[in-house]
Amino acid sequence: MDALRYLLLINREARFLKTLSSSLLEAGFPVLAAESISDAQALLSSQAVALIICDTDLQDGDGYEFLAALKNSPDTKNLPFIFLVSARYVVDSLEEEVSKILKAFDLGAIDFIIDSMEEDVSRSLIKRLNKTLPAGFQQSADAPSAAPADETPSGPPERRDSKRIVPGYAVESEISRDGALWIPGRITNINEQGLMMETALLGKLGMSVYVRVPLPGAQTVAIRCHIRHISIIRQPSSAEVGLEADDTAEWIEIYTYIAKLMGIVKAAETKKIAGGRQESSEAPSAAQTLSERKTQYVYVDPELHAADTGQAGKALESKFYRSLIGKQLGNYKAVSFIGAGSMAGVFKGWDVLLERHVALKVISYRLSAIPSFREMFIREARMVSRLTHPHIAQLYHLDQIDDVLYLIMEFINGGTLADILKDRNNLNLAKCLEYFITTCRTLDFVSKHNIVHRDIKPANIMIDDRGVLKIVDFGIAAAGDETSESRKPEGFGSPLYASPECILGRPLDLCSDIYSLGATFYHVFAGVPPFEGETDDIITAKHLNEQLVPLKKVSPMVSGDLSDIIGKMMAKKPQERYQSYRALANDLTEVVH
Amino acid sequence: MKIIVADDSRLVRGIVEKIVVSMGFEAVPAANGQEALDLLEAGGIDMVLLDWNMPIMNGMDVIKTMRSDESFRQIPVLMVSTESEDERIRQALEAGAQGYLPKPFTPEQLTGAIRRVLSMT
Amino acid sequence: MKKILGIDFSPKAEIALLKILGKDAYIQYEKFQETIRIGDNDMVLLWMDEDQALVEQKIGKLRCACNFQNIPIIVMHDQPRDIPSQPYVIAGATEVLSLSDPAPACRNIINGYLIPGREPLPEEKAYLDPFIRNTCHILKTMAGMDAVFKKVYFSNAIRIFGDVSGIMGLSGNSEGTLAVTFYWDLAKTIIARMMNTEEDQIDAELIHDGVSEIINMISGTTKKDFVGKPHHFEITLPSVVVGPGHQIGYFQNTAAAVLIFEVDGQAFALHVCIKPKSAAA
Ligand SMILES: Nc1ncnc2c1ncn2[C@@H]1O[C@H](COP(=O)(O)OP(=O)(O)O)[C@@H](O)[C@H]1O
Ligand SMILES: [Mg+2]
Repeated sequence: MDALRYLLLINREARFLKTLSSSLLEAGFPVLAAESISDAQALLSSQAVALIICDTDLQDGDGYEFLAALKNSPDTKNLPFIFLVSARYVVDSLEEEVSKILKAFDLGAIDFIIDSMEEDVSRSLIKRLNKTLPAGFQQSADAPSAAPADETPSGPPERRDSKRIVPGYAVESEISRDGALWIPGRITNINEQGLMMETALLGKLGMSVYVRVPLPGAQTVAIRCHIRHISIIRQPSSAEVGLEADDTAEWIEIYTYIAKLMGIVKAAETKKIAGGRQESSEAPSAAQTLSERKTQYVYVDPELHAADTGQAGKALESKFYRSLIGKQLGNYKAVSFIGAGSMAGVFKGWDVLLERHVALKVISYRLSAIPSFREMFIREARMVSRLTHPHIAQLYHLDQIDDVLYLIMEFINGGTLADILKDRNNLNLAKCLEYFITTCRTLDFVSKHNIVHRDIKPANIMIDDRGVLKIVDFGIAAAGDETSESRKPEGFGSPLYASPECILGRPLDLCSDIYSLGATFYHVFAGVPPFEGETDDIITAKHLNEQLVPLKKVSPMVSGDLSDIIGKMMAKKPQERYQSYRALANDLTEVVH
Repeated sequence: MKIIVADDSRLVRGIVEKIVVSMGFEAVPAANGQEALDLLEAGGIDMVLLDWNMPIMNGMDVIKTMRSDESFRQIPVLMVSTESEDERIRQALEAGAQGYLPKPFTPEQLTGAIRRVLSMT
Repeated sequence: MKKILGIDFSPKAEIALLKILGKDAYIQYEKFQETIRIGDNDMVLLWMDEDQALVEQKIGKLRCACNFQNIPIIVMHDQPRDIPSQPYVIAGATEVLSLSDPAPACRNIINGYLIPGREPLPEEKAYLDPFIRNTCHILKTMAGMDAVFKKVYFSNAIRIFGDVSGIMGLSGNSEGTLAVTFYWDLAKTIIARMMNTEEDQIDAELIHDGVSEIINMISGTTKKDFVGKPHHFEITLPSVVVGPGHQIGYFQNTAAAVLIFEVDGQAFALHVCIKPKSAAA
């Protein structure tokens, strides 16, 4: 046994690390701190570590993967591992939060502590450590809350704590009248015949309803019940219903599960895991924890959710787009929201004067406020508006509200190639080749006008409801004679299809579009993008340095010729690619015949 | 004159019963098709007002059962339902209903419909 | 000029807001009161100064005071950390903004919400009109009450902020959801009138039956009007839910219309979200 063993604290916030380390040191624990997984790994290989306290999100990866990696190595597999996350990062719905916690325990974590910022997290942590670490671990005996240790981390850590958490959070039961609309319902009691549930669904005696309960192992089981009792408890916001369950195998499964949980709840000494919203320092019972849930949403609004979880800037942009839903800008009504990309939000719009559908593309207010961007954008829009081509979404109009630029363009009733890629059953080789050639010919036409698209990717190629391909988003590309200064200040939308010269911020010409077109159709034919990675940086590094796996290797169905064409399109050096669309189109047509 | 008012909604039963009583008839409530059939079994029924969508047994099944049973075949049925498409009305009449009144209805419309059905038989 | 009601702002927060919105914004500041009135204000800005539960309660009261009108309620705070907006939005807020967000972001978002709502398109009018007509007709025939259609606005979700709602799922040719929402008092009045009885006779079961019957009749009669048209739908069983804060669905590529009616001086709302399958984007 090493003379001195450390607690290893891993968190991406230096300030947090500092405060926590000093309180732990004060309490007598020897502490090591790391801001990233790689730092932590370096420390693990050089120092004797007794326990790890780690955040879920780290600079260079996520805590779960790190934990899984530790468990996979014989040297570290018995190392106790505690998750400590700060509540400000816990913006998930309860469901997600629970699933994360469960995942942590599944991987072998011994605790999952959420820093609620309402009380000093170091105190609850020290309590926990005293229970986990062998007595005498601390250096000084007069630590503030040195309770006698009653357990030692000998052998693999057991999952005792998971039981404590499951009842409080995991039973996300729901009730439904028609099996389609599900309303949350809190199970308050259960016996062999049925259950009591608190819910906002107002039923009546004798009515049949469905109840569904997620069981461990991710499957959700639904059963039919009849309402045998109703009392309104908090008029007018919820009722307690007594439900008699149909006697089925599913019911027995649910009953066994819930009854066990409830038994456990009553017996076990519940302990605070510091959920973000729990104010009382009293240990809440599982029932209390559930009743604190006021949220009664039926479906989570992904847009709303994105705004909460996304990066700050993007979140604000989508809040802005959301403020325009159901509004009228100039002569254009925003009918419904279609989606947001890196630079704009797109709405289905209606032209009040011409009485036709249009696409309304509202440019990011941040970009709109940059004078050089505006200038470039307007100049570009001017050029693109002159393009008339059956496979290019026509630009109709450019205007602004306050300072925010917006474009009006041809509305394409359909989906993008990116949408289609999600369901590969809709694709066949011949159709894909046809799309490929059409895109190529269209870009040929465009390049003759000295315009580089700059953002060729599946999300910018749309197929309308009559099967006609349309390239969108010319409006934000820069003219071919521009210098690197005109690059989108945001960087590029998706790195999956970006050319090396684009990544390096060099001036772009049609060869860059050819690379992106190659990458796009590599994805179409292979089902996976040419280069993948956890982060944008990894992907861009691969575009720069890693050799492309030939398409043929990934997708043996495609011909060697097609694989070679895409390989040539995606040469790292622009001069090694096709130098014109004509040459490319010729080679592609050969493949067809 | 004794009339069954079959509807799963206590509210609708309440409304209809009041109107039936105001016509000088006796109203007997049933909360579903099965209850209506039980009341018919007990005898003395002169007419049935039937909702279409009810739990346990729906209105259409009640009509079908009544029409296949010698002792109930002659008892007139007025269907009262939110299902108001022509196709649905045709189905109900074909199955053996004498009348069909779509919801919403005014008291006058209901009394009129009841009278019409009764005068037919 | 747009009128904004600022609630519970401290002098410091007022100044911060002034910096964001500029001198042209007309903001009237007040302390929160149970009996607060929204009046003819175009927007409410609520300062988030206390614990979450209390703020949610205030939001609920303010939303109720809006009486189904589409008045944006924007909750503002100066905490440096990201606050999840979901609980507040569920409670009835439109958006949550932080003073530590960049000023142009806040300004643009607030100005975005101040843009007047759009009128329906001709094609939307065509399918909303039968709902309006039938809703008024049902109240007239069943309760002898004259409901008047007031206004429509469009949203990307059905968010329910009333006391009791009847919800109908639509399937078939067209898919979607209908939801009628009342405050407790009006629901009781209507149902008592339907039954020709006193309001104190109306219990929970009758409220249930009444609200589900109303959404049933709205769906049933309108479905008939759509026979042979792309908006024709089939109905399922109505669900009745109590309390505010239900969000039913979120729609990309579809708009949910919120039709506001008035009867006996009280408002109620009918949410209509219906999407013909053939026109799927
Ligand atoms: N002209 C259009 N007509 C209809 N939908 C469009 C049009 N242009 C873009 N879209 C839709 O809007 C979404 C967002 O567009 P955009 O802002 O260009 O994002 P991205 O950066 O993903 O290309 C696209 O994925 C597409 O589905
Ligand atoms: Mg795009």
